[in-house]
Amino acid sequence: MYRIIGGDGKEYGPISAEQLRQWLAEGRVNAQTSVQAEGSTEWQPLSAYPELASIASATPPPVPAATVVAPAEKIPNYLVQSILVTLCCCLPLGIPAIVFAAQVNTKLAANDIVGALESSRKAKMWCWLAFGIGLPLQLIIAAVQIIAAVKQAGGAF
Amino acid sequence: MAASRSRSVWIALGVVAGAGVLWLIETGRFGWLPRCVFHEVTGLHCPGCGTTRALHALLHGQVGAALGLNLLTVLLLPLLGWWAFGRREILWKPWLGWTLLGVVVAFGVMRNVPQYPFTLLAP
Repeated sequence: MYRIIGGDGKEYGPISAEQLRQWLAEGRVNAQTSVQAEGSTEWQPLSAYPELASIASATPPPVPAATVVAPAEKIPNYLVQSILVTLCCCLPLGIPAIVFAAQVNTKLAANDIVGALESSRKAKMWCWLAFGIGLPLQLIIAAVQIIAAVKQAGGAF
Repeated sequence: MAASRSRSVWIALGVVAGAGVLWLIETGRFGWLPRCVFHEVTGLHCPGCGTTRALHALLHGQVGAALGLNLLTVLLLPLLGWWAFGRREILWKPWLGWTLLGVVVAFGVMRNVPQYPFTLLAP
């Protein structure tokens, strides 16, 4: 997502890359427009963003580069999975999983695809860690409890 | 799209199977139901403690009891439904991830405070 400063000096956004491209095509923004990627505090001309500039300099506008928007939905953020392992496996290991899952979204919003992939990988790792350690522990405790229950029942008869 | 639909089907089957087992089992009568390891070891309530009982209560229509056992789980259920069947774009919103993190951590801390308003959150 991006914020822009319009010709009237006002701030607009956050808007998606898709929307920004649309505005570019309509001439509402141009290569000199100040753009700020979400998650960043720096204002730069639109031409400084490679993913947007390629369209700005090319005339007529080419078919929008799908690479900018498409990966967002394809990079798994493991948000739901990390919440599930935190609640079900009952282990603090789920918390880092949620942190990295949230990072995926923030980085994607800032168009940091490489960073998002890295966070996605870490989120996945922590999810599996929480699951892989949590589940066997639960099974061991369950086994201990069953044995205790059986022994107690045996003693009662 | 086909992969997405088949995933929805699998999630639905999982939910129905899980709900079936939970509905049948009288939680608490069988001591061997999955116990929270974190609680066994530390004696503290983790953010997920009470989830099994809350879902069980919910399946028996005891919404109030479910909310008392684990408020967070009950409130997050719609999110799960959204994930399974809805438009998934919302899951990629940056605010959602950080909000969920804050809510889970805050809930985990608050339900361990042994003072009146907070004790309502403990299972």
